[in-house]
Formats: sequence, C-alpha cells, structure tokens
Amino acid sequence: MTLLHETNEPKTILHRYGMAVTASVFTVAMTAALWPVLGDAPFILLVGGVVVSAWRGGLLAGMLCAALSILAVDYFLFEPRYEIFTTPTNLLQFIIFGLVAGLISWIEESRARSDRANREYREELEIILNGVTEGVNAQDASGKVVFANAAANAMTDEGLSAAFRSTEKPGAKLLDSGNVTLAFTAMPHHRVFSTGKPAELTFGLKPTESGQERWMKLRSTPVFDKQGKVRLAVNIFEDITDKRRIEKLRAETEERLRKVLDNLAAFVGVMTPDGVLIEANRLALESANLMLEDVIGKPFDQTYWWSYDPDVQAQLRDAIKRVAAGETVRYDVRVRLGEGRFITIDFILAPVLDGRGRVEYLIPSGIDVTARQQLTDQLAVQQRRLESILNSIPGVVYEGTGSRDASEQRMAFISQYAETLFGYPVEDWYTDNNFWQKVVHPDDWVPVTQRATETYLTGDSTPVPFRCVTKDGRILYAESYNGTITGLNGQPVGTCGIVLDVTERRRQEGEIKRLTTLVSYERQRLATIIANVPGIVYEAIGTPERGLQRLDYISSYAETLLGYPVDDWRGGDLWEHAIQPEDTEATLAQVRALFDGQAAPIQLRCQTADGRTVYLEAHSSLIRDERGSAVGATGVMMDITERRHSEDAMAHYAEELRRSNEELEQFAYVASHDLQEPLRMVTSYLQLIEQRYVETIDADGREFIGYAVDGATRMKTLINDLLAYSRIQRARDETEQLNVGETVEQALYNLQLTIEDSGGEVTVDEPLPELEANRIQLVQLFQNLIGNALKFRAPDRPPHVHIGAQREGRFWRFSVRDNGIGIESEYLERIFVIFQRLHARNEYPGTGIGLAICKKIVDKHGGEIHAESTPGEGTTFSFTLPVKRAPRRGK
Amino acid sequence: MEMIQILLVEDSPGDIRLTKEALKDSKVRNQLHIVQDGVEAMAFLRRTGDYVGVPRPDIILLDLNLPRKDGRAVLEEIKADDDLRRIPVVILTTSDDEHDILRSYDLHANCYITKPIDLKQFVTIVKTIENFWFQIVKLPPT
Repeated sequence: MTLLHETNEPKTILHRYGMAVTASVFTVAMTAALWPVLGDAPFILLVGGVVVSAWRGGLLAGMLCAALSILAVDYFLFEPRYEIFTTPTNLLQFIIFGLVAGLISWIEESRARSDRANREYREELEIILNGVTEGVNAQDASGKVVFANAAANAMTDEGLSAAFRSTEKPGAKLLDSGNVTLAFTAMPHHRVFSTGKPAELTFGLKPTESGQERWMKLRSTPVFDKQGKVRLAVNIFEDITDKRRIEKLRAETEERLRKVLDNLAAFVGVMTPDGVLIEANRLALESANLMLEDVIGKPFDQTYWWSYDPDVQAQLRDAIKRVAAGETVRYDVRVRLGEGRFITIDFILAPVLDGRGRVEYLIPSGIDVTARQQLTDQLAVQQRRLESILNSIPGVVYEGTGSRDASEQRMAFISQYAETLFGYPVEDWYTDNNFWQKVVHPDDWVPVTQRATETYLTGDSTPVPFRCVTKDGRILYAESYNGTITGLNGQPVGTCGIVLDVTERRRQEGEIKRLTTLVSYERQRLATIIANVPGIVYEAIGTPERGLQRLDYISSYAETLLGYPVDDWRGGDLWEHAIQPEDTEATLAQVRALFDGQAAPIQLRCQTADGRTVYLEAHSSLIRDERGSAVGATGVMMDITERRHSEDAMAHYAEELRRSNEELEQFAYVASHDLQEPLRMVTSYLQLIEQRYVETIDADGREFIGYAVDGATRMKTLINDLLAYSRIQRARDETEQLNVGETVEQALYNLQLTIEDSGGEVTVDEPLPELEANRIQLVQLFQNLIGNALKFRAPDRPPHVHIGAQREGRFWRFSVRDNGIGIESEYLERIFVIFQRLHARNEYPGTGIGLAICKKIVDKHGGEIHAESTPGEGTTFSFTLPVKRAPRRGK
Repeated sequence: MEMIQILLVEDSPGDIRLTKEALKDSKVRNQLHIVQDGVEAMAFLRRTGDYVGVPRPDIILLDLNLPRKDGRAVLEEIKADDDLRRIPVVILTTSDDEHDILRSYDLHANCYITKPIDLKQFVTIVKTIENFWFQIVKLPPT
C-alpha cells in the first residue's frame, strides 16, 4: 500500500520534554553567545525555543522551555550573575512567553488533531477500497497512478499497467469485444480527461508472450479540482475473463436450449406465476401462425390458442391458479391454431421452483394428440355401437373372463336385455361374480355350470337348455349358446354366449302339438260329416283359362247319386263323365262367372250311369293361393232334380197367370175403349135425330130418346170407372216422397164444387205427414173417400168430414170421418167389392166402383183399408200407408 | 182467302159424318179430305197410289185406333218426316187413357182431344178446333 503522506508518530513524554529542555539549553547558549549583540532584547532568541517546544511538545513543554530559559538567562547572564532575581519584569516575561507557548501549542494541537482525523478517514477508506473486489485506482493528468487499492495492485501486471500508461508501449495489445485491436487513446481515462465525462470500456488484453487472454471491464470517472478542471481519473475495473467465459457458456447453453425448445415436437412456453406468457417455442407459434410479440406479455388464457371458448379459458385460469400453488396439472384440451382449425393436445402445466421452493415460473407444454383422440373417439364410438347392437339383441349376450369355472368367472359384459328378461339391473352381474346362481333355477345350476366348464375346455357349443327365475318369481325357459374366447396364445381365457328366452317357443310348440291333435280330430269329424252329406262334396284344381278343372276330391255320394265309381272321378275330368255335350258351353260359362267373382250357384245337368237326367246345384268357394289368385274351387253339389221339377211347374203357372192377367188388362182396356165408340154413336145420333127432327117427334118419342141417351151416358160412366179401376193395376209403379197434406188439398180442390153444393165442411188435422206414395193415386184415394162422405150425407144436417192421421209403428193410419147416413155393419165388408151398391140409383147415383178403386190403391201401397160405422150417425173410413215404401217386388 | 185443307184420318163412318156435319157451317172455307186407315193416310200425305196430285193438308185430325196402321204409327212417321212434321196434328180419339195422352205428346202431337159422348159437346169441340187452328193460330206457310 502506498501512502500519500507520512504520518506524525505520537511523541513520548521523554521525547517532548527532552526536546523542551534541549531547546532551552540551545537558546540560552545562543543568547549567551550573542549577549552583547542583543542589547535591549536579551530574550528574543528564547522565543524561538519556546515556539519550537510548544509546537513540537505542546503547551507544557513550551511552558517548561520558557521557564527554564528565562531562569537560565536570569541566572547566568543577568547581573548579578548566578543568582536568581525574580523581578516583576521577569514574571511579565514569563507570562508573555507562556501565552506564546499556549498559543503555539493550541495551534499545533488543533492541527495535529485534524491531521489525525484525516488520517483515520483515509485509513478507513483504504480499508474499504481494499475490501472491494474491483480494482480501483486514480490517475492524474500525466497518467501517473496516484492511488491503487489492493485489488488493483493484485490485478495490475505488465499488460494492465500498459493500459493505464499515458503513452503507448509496444508489444501490448488492447482488443475490443469484437477482438479488434483498440487505439491506445480509446482507453476511458483518456476520454475522461479530454471530455470531462465518465467513460466505460470492456476490452481484452492480448498477452505479449504466452499467457492467457484477459478481459477487463473498466469504468473511468472524473474528479474535478476547485477550478473545475479534471484533477484525477478514478478507474474502477474488474477482470471479467471468467465471467465472460461463463456468460458465453450460458449464452451457448441458452442458444442450445432454445434450439432444442424450437425443435421440440411439443408446444412449450414459460409464464410467470400470475399467468403472463414470457416465452413460447417455435412450434407453438408457427402452428398457429403467430409471432412472438403476439403472445409475449399477455395473460396466457387471452392468447389466440385459448381465446375461442370462455369455458376453456376458465379451465385454464383454474389450472394456472393451482399450478401457481405448486401442483402439476394435466388434461386433454382443444387449442385453436387457426380459424376453425383445432387440435387436441395433452396439456401439462408444471411449476418451476426457485431455490427456496417458491414457484418461479410455470411451464405449459402440450403434445398434439388429435390423432390419438380421434382414435380414442373412434374406439369409443365402435364400443358404443357394438354395445348398442348387443343391447338390442333380444337375448342376453354375455362375456365372462377369468376362470374356467363358470361360478368364478367375472362378467366382462352383459347386455341390457338381462334386465328386461330377468328384472335385475345389469350392475348386479358386474358386482357379483356369482350372480348367475341367483337367476338360474336351483335344480339346473349344477348341470348348467358343468356344461359351461365343458364349453370352456372343449369349445363345445351345443345349446344348453335350462330354467331361470326372474326377479318377480316367474320361471322362464332359456337356452344358452356358448363359445370360448381364446387369448393370443390360443388358450381359452373366457366364455361368451347368448341366453335366449325360449318360453314362448316352448309354448308355441305345445300349441302346435295341441292344434295338430285338434286338426286330426277335426279332419276325422269333417270326413264323417262329408260322408253323411246328401250331396257331392268336391274339390277341383285348375281354372277355366287353364283348361277344364281336374277333380282333386269327390265324396262318395257321387257314386250313390250318379252311379259312377268314385275312383273313376278322382284325378279325372268331371265334365267328361256326366255333362251332356250340348250343356258343356253353358256350364263352362257359369264356371267362368264363378271365377270372375259371382256367387250364384252353378246349375248342372248330369246323366247318371243308368241314363237318368239329374239336376245338380253346386255351391262353391274359390281356392286361392297365397297371392290371392284363384287356383281352384271347392264346394258341395246338391241334387235339385225334385226342386227343379217343381220350379219348372211354378214358372209355368206364373207365366200362365201373367199372360192371363195381361189379357185381362188388355181386355178391360180395349173393351172399355171400344165400347165407347158405339155408345157415342148411339148418343150422338139420337141427339142428332132429336135436334134435326124436333117437329116430327112427339113427347113420347123425346122421352124414349131421353132414356136411351141416359142409359148410354151411364154406360159411359160405368166404362170410365171400370177403366180407372183397371188403370190402377196397370199404372206405372211411380212413387215419390210427398206431403199428404198437399194431396188432400189437391183432392179438396178437385171437389170444390161438390163441397160448395153440399153446404158442408171438411176439416184436416194439421200437419199431415210426409211419406212415399204415388201422388195421382193418393189424390184419387182422398178424393173418392171425401166425395163418398159428401155424397152419403144425412138429409137433415150439413155434412162434416174430418181427415186425421196417426202413427202406428211402420205405418201411418189416415181416417176420413163423416156425419153421414152410416152403413149397416153387415155391409161393411162388401162395400169394397166392385159394383157393390147399397142404395138405389135415384137415391145416391154411382157405379159402385169408387171404394173398389180405394181398396185397390191402398192394397197397392201395401196398406189396408176398412170402415167403421154407426148407421144414422156417420162412417169412418181408415186406411194405413207405410211410412217407408217396401222395396218393390217383381211384377 | 185460301181454302183450308183438312185431312181427317178416321175409320168410324159415324164420326166422319159428325165431323162433316160440324164443319158444314164453318165460317172458314175448307176442304175436308177423309182417309180411313193409317196406310191410306201416309199415301195421301206422300201423294202416292190413288192420291197423286192431292193437296198438302194444312191440318190433320188423327184418330188413334185405326185399322192396318194405327194412329200412333202415323203420328210417329209424320213427325219423323222432314217434309211433313210441320203440319199440325190434332189427335181426336175416344181414348182418355193417360198412356195414350203421354205417348201422343211424346211423339210431338200438337194437341190431344178426347171425343165427348154428347153431340153438342162434339160439335162445340170441332168448332173450337176450327176457330183455334184456322183463325187464331198462324200455320206454317206451305
């Protein structure tokens, strides 16, 4: 260590006072020597001694020096010599000397004290500076090093000292960080002096000879004097050779690590514990087409990869919170790489701890597992599909693994149908290896397990029948089909199979057995019936289009009836045997009609073996194949010969009757018609005679002509009534829905004059019903009855006719009641007979046909008519008409 | 004034005479032609056989019940003949049968009259026919 100033060592007492004595002696000797010269100032020289003693030895030494020298001068030089005089002058001199010594020593003391403090400060500074690892020195403007601390001294060798020199020294080389040789003046202290500003430089020292290259970092700071000029340059420098090497090493390591990171097939990043991303590797960035600055410094959950779904972001934030607390979190998650482009990654978020176990960083990383995820998804889909297929099978599909012993097997799978079939939840099979024992009927358990073991060992897959008991206690018949599952080594590792519910099948089998018995019984019964039917039961195959029918079956009655042996018919042609050639076409036509869907029975005429003719009537049904096409016919043929004969006879009679009726009608019409001609001639010409020969005919002649004309006129009325009567029969059967009230009104209108002439009244029950009838006839019916009632009125009272109607079941009953003369009960039936008259013509004129016409009209409408009467009081005619007309019968 | 040509198809001599009597005092000049059955009526109308050159009648009085070809057939033939169908046909018959009436009108008879039994009425009817058909009605131009 180089000190700037020499320090005053503290003086011993001896040293201090010795020096005071010495100074006293020296000054007294000098005064003695110079005594003659001194004159009036004998003590002047003493002052110097006192000053030196006080300066060097302090106040006491000064005082001592003053006292000694004053006493010595007084004793040795002043007269009287060798005697001590103590004068007031001496005392004053002593006081003055003392004051001088005090002043001097005080000044010296203060200086010394300040000197000491300064020294202590510098010493402390040196100690501090020496404790600093950096080198510290100071140079003045000439480049001279005026101070250097311990580190500086230790570091300063030939090479370094060259750097601080103010002139270049050949052989020493300074390098900048790029290994380029530096100009000597580039050193910072030069710049500090030239610019007055601090300067800094990192530089290398190229060794002159063999030796290590050293790197220094130097910082130069100016120290200014009071004039503001740079007095010193303080250099602080350190040897950064090692640090630089480590830094380089670290940079290389970092570079290597970055390359590794960037080339990892994983997404890796670094973030702060509060979730801000500070690093992301290339794959993570490039996959999403991002730049580092897009993501760095952002909260991780706000970055592009995650910001597509708030839920995913929330999950991530939660993970960050947990990892920041020291956990490691791992889950599969989808991240966004582009618009609509996602991948699934196996995401791991792990904490990095510092030396004290605090979380320093979070490392998110992920591997693209999209393919794996897809595979997993696919597998899951396939698994689900397989399970739903198995679950939809109406049988219990199972897979047992582990032991060969069925009772020790573990259920690897059992289909949902187990629950449907047995009523237990499928979980029971999974939780209880022995659950089958609960389901299988106790009596069947041992054989079933034995068979299962056999299947396991031999692969025998014959179905095993057994009974099961369901949860609600029903017994099911089941059948299991089992197989063995072999492992990769070919050894059995389990069994699988399906348990089917065959209860219904067993029931059906029983039903079939029962039906078979029933059918055979029915068949027997049918055979018995057929054998006893008085008709030919047949079955024929074939259609008219495909040629004539082939008889498949014919009952034995055919032989009884027709005489041909049954065996001759079967398989042969029905018609060839018995149908007459002239009937073939007509018969075939009927068969075609049958196949066309007409239900009418077929009429056949057959020739028996002994030549008789027999009429048959075949009632048949078509035999259809499964598509509904007719392929044949079956039925029974009855012998209708007898019936046919009676029918023929009846048809004959009916025809005769019809002809007879027709002739009668024709007769009635023609006769009544043609009868009118001569009548008209008689009348007309009698009248012509009467008219033209009025003068030549006398009163008698005119009277006779009168009778003749009257007869002819009545004849005409008779004929007309007869015509009307016959016309009702011939009238076309036309009916309509009509209002009876209207027909009554029409009749009253037709009778208007008669009613007025009679002075009577006709009342009607309103409303009269509606029904279906022939309008003209109904008008005539009412007209005849009302007219009748008016005609047979009592002479003593005006006629009153009342028309009423009431419902009687399917009929309406109409009544025409009068207050006329009435009819004796014995005639009540006869009045409806044609031409029946009860009164003389001059009393009540008429032909006796009116009521016959009424009866005929009512009859024709399907009703009936009768009369009730109290003679002298009145008659009530009542007739019925059906509410709804019965369907018309054949003529 | 043109003479009205009437064709009477009637087989009963009594009725022919009565018709003649009734028309005798007619105010209208008329000529009555008489045929006694349907065949002759058609021959007259078509002017064949004995009837070449006869005039075309302005009106036909037709009985229904006639020998050989009855009045219904005659009516049908007339009304089916393009040349004859415009001649008015008055059915004059004893029948008042509903069937006959309907059938006649179905065959386009121009009117249907039942001969009355009384002489006065008959004369009245013939006069009415004369009055109506010859004086009131506008007949088709021949």
